[in-house]
Amino acid sequence: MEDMSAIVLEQADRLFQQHIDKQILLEADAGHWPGSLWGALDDAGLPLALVPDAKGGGGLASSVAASLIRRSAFHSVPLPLAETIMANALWTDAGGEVIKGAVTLAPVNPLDRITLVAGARGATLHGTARHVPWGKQALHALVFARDASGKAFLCRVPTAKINSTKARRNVACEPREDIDFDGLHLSSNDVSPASSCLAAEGLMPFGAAIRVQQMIGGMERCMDYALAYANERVQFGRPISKFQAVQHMLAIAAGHFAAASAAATRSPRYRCSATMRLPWRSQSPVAARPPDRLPPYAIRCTAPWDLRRSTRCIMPLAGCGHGATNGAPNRGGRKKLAG
Amino acid sequence: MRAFRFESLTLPPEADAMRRKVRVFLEDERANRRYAAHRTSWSTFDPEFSRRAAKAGFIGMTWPRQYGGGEYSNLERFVVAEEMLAAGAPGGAHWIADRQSGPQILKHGSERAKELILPRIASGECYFGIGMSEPDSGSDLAAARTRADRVEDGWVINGAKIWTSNAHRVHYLIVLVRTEPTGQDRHAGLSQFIVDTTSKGIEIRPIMNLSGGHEFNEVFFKDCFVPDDMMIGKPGEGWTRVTGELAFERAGPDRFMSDIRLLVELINKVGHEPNERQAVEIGRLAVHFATLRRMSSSIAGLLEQGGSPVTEAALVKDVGTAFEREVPEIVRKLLPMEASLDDEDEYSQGLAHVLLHAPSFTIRGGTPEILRGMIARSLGLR
Ligand SMILES: Cc1cc2nc3c(=O)[nH]c(=O)nc-3n(C[C@H](O)[C@H](O)[C@H](O)COP(=O)(O)OP(=O)(O)OC[C@H]3O[C@@H](n4cnc5c(N)ncnc54)[C@H](O)[C@@H]3O)c2cc1C
Repeated sequence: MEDMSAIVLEQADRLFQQHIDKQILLEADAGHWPGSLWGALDDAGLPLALVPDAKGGGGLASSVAASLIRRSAFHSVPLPLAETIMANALWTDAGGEVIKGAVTLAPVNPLDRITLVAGARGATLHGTARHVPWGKQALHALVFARDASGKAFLCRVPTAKINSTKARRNVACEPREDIDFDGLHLSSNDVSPASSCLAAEGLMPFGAAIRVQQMIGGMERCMDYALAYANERVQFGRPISKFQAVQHMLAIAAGHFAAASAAATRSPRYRCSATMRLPWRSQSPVAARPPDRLPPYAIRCTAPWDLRRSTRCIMPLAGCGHGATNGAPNRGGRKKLAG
Repeated sequence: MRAFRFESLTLPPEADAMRRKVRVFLEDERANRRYAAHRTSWSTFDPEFSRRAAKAGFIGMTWPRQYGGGEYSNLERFVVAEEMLAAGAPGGAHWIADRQSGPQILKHGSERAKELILPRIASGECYFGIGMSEPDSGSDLAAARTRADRVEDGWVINGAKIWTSNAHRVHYLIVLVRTEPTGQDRHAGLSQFIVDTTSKGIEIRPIMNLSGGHEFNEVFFKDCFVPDDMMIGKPGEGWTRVTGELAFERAGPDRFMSDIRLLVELINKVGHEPNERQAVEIGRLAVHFATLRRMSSSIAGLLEQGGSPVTEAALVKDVGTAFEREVPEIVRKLLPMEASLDDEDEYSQGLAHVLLHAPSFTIRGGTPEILRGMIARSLGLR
């Protein structure tokens, strides 16, 4: 099992490395959808990583999928791959078939609520979701909504039907849309009661789990660069890694990185169906352990555009998408107080 | 115990009068929507603004009238600088010339350089960049390899500088070069020159920063001629000159107010009834800010008395830029909102702008590690 996951991750690494270059990242920054990259990820089955074999997916353990998302962030994949993995996992878990193409999740802001009114033929949505990642470019959005009685649903919404009221990019230059769902009608095929794991907090813990893995992937890339550069850059006649002040900075950064990785593998468990336990738990050591050896291709400090992207990718997570950095500690704190 | 003391300073009445004057000017700028305060500060390059500020008498304030100055005190200048920063004024075009290049030329430049350049700076027409860092010489400034060789009536420069802010849109750079090979004393044999950016033999290439903007550059010199009277001080004095210049560069309110608008924006958004956490954090930032103001104004006082408080300036820069770096980290926790440069919401845009620029606050003008080394030396530890 452990060997298998190592192979999967190695293959994914190779795939990302093969298909992501400066040009793709610059174009993505400018708002261009990297279709050929998506095609390659799709061919490799990555968007269905968490869908069970029986439904045509990769059937990966959630801890391996977590590592996969981490690696995708390490390589700055400028696509909603993590969102699609999560959306397909949740939708198939709720009884649906896999969704073709990229899928985003909504709402992502903890304050946004989407409501659902069931009718004779399907349902109608109401409400606005702000800052939805790739809200227009993904083909579908998986929307979490509640009806008047508080019952939770998942809705598969083709983005072609979506009314985007505001588009902008976050600081990593990823597209973010405000979406107005008011009056959007869905057929009953596109609506499904949500699994019990979504009942309490909707998509938030799942979104946060994605963002946390992405942050760690970005941090790992930055650490790689910083360590390599410290040994390479010479000032005052020696590599700056020989200065204690620099050693301390890197040691502190390594501590943060280790703590972040540890925290991410100790997220609270959410029990879904028998096949799914999300967000990630530390089941396989692959997710918890930093790589023993640094991948040689990462040791290239002459590519500042690349580092620039990793740095920027950590930053938007400072925003409130899925409450990854604000909601989570708060929730933990509150729980402790309550306990 | 050795310690640094920043004497408390009461601003003289002239400084208060100057504060009222600059506030009227800035009020008018804002009333006429001449700039967007939430995304501008002292690195925003806006020549139109600089010309208006000059016309109102806010550039070259301390210089003699003979060179276009206003013969005001350093404390009056200090007040103008902090008001500009507080208002988010886009002073980037003239900032470096006014803060350090002009004063450097006034103190050590040739008569011709003073006559040719200072009045143009004071009228908001002439801007400067800093030519210190090189590809292999950042913190270790004395390792500069760009060199100037003697020719008839002047010097020719060969080499390269890097991270040169605004090189593509300023009129001059003050460039640190080797005029003699490195010997036993690595600080010897350096000199400073004023180099016209339109000179033959200069090539400027852009480097994009984290926010995707073009602010800094690489600058290449190939047999670039500089006349004798564009040397600052005497040959070989470069190290002393550059150290003095850094004292001007490091101690001003721009070292803790680069992102002050974001803090203001936060306070506006939070309103009159902050929750407890917001009140505590904003209160803490306000107290730190007040302390930094006091330290920085104290240095303005020392400069007024003709001192060159090099280590005190390093200390203010270290503490001040740490404060600037902390602001966005605290702000985003108190009022979560996804930052976006494209967003028309001022808070979201301001936060994005600051997030993408803040990492550079502690690096530009000398890193904390280097500044702390200087402070340690002055404590007798090295
Ligand atoms: C936004 C921005 C604008 C700038 N504008 C200009 C400009 O207009 N003109 C100009 O000349 N320069 C400019 N700079 C360059 C700036 O002055 C340098 O980046 C800075 O001095 C550090 O040099 P470096 O980048 O070469 O880093 P390095 O000197 O290579 O340092 C790398 C790291 O090693 C550490 N280090 C180095 N030596 C030691 C030591 N002995 N002990 C402990 N730690 C050490 C440093 O603190 C740093 O963390 C700008 C920089 C920025 C970010």
